[in-house]
Amino acid sequence: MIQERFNQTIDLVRRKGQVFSFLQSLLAVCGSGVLVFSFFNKPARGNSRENVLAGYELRAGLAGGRRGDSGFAALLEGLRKTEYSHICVSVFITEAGTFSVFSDFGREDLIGALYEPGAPGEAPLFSHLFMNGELLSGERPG
Amino acid sequence: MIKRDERYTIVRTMYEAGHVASFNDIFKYIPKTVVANDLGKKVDRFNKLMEKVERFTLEEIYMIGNFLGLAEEQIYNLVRAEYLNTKGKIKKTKKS
Repeated sequence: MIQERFNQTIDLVRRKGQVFSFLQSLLAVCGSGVLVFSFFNKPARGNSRENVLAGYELRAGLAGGRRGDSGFAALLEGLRKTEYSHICVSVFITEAGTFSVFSDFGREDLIGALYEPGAPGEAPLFSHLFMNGELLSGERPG
Repeated sequence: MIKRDERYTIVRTMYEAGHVASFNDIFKYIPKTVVANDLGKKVDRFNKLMEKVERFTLEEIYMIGNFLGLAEEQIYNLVRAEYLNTKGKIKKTKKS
């Protein structure tokens, strides 16, 4: 299931990620080397469009104008406009930086994306290790 | 029944996305006053505790974890990270 979600998300980025120039860097590194991948598993109250929008509005506010073309403006616009009730956030932590991909849970539509240089202080919950595009760690229990 | 502040859910969401790495990060998404009130503490006292997180009791830490929907280990690790960050900063200040 994890490998499938990884593949679906990368496929979505290939199909619709041209809008975000930094996603080309993700495509360049996702098939080679080591990265950590995590994703929101299923629609839940916490990942309702309203909650995700509120969280990232606060995050954008904290970032101020420092983030340049990291994707906040397009992300917030996408979250405000989308008709999906729940948002899937998929995070790729790579040596080129951290890429967050916002989509519906079917991975049909790309709602937004963010790029942050470096890695988060704490790996996201339910993180999975990938090497050369293949899952290294075990499947999530349950 | 008291209605739970919806911002607790936002903190949990941001935690899942890897944006909450230490105890202080929680308060980027929810005001300290809300958590202090829910914990039954005066805001001044809560702010003092935030300066020295090791003075929170385990019961208080786990209660905050419960508000956020985090397991004991998860909230404990956030407090631990905060403690180590603060401790590191104090040591650096003393050296310089």
